[in-house]
Amino acid sequence: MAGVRLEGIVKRFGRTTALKGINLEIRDGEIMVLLGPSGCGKTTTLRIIAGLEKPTEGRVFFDDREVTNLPPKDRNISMVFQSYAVWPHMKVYDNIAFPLKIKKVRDEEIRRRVKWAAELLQIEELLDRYPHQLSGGQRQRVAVARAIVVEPEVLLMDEPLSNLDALLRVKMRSEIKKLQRKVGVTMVYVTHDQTEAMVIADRIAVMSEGQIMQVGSPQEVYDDPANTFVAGFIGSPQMNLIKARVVDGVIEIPGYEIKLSNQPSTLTGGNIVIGVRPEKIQIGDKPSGPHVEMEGIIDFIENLGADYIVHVKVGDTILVAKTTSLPEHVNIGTRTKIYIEEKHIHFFDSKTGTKIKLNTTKK
Amino acid sequence: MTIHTYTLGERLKGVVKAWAAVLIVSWIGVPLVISILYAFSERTALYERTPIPLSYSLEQIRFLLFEAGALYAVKNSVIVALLTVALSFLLGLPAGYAFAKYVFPGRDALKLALIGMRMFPVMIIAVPLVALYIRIGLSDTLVGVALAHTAMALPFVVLITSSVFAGVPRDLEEAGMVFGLSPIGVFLRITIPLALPGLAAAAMFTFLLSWNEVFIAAVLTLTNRTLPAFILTSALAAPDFFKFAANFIIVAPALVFVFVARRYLVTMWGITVR
Repeated sequence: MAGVRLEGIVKRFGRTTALKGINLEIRDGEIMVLLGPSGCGKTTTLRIIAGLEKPTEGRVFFDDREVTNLPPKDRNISMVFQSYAVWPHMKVYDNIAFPLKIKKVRDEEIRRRVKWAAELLQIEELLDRYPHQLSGGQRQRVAVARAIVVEPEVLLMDEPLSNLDALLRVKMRSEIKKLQRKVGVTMVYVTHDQTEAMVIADRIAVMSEGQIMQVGSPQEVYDDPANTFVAGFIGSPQMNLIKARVVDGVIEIPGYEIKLSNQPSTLTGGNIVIGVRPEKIQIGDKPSGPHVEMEGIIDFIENLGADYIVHVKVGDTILVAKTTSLPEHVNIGTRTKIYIEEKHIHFFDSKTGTKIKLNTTKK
Repeated sequence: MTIHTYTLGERLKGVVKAWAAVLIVSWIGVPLVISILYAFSERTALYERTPIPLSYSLEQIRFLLFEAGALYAVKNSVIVALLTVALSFLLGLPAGYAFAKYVFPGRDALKLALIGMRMFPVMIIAVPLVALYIRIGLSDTLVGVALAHTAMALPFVVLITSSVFAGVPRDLEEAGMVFGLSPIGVFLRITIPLALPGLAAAAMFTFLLSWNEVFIAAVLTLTNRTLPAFILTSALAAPDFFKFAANFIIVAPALVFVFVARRYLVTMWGITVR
């Protein structure tokens, strides 16, 4: 087992710069999820850790051992590919045993380890088959078995669930996390699915355009997004991000004015973006703590069974709220009061998008 | 369970399809079968007015092979064809791999040049080639013919193997690297086995290319004739019944190869890697 450290990683492909200086410390034994939209550089980062790609600048360390220029085979890593990359010309048993055979492990030991991995992933009855006789989910299990059988220092996963159907994906993501806990390996997991990231990660590194936007536990990234990108990328439905102006202690959003009970002194004036998660907007029930009260008209209601997604028009702005229950009188077109606790309002700089730290005492 | 009843349209479509298939197969099959039948007929059967020969004998084949020297030519042809396959793969396989897996300056220009090489008429090259061969002592040798055939087959081998290698997913090779193989190890243990059906097909085509090539072989050899050159110079000057026998001798190996290749390509692991 090992921790991974990336120092100032830059990667250029011809004229495009895929990674613009990545610094990241992955702790021994944790699951680090690299999360971001396609093209953000998360897979390139993973491939640099694997050694499949060489960084243009910067260095890669496993613990204190520099591996920047080592080929993949000398890094003691393993990987689950998006396409699974199970070799079609070998039976399942041989696929799983192959890494061990190359390392010249004794036959008896190979048999024992393959059996262990196959039991862990419940594929014992498939060992004698060829990959083309397996379903996508089964192939995925074979790929994972092959990856853990070598007892790697670092286990890399490149969107391993994206080719599975929705139901299986939900099942496998918790299984992968349980498996990692059992094996205790350091894991780097790439995905563009924020729900998957929240479930699997110990910590998430949110990436955009070749840079890391924020690193933190799923809860931290959710509760305290460092900028508008993270705020908008994590959470579903998306956080409400509204352009606003601060004038004399009053926050103006198009067609409406909000007054905070406790004006933070860092909010001096000028343009900002305010962010509120849909699930933090309450319809009907007044919260006990300091809060903002607004009045609006219900524009649309999506009934999801367990939840309602309610679009409320406040001034010229549509706010999206998520709630488990609706007061009886509320319907499309009705005028209603909504409440947001002040501690759940995020303020961002409108130019840079970074969060404006508040100096008021937190409640 | 429901029983599917065919509509008139569907039935008509089936009939048309079946007849089209019969027509296409007959186009190639009928002359082939007739020529093979006459290869095994009595000499006189050729001049009787029956659609197929009625009396059979192995005499023509026996005579061609064992007395006229066709067996020696067959042996020469096999040696030349195998040498051609070996040489063109030795040279062409790495080039094909490079074209498939790497992007380098001049890649497209080189590919075009390879295709361009096929534009030179063999006739024009043949005479200088003979002069050159006589000077360096390669004339009338099997190695000489094999080298000329290699030159002809090489562009084909490079282009075909490059598309075969391009059909091997990069992920499978990268998995090999991650799980402990060196680049050469990946090539030998992952890429080659996966490309094997395609490579085998390319090898068989190359073999047949050399096996069927007559012009260069006829110009470059005198005593060490390959089979087509032998037939061109000897059997075609002989009576008709020898032509049929010669035809069979040259067609038979090609037929066997095609049948073997077909089965090999389809059953190999039940997957299709181009």
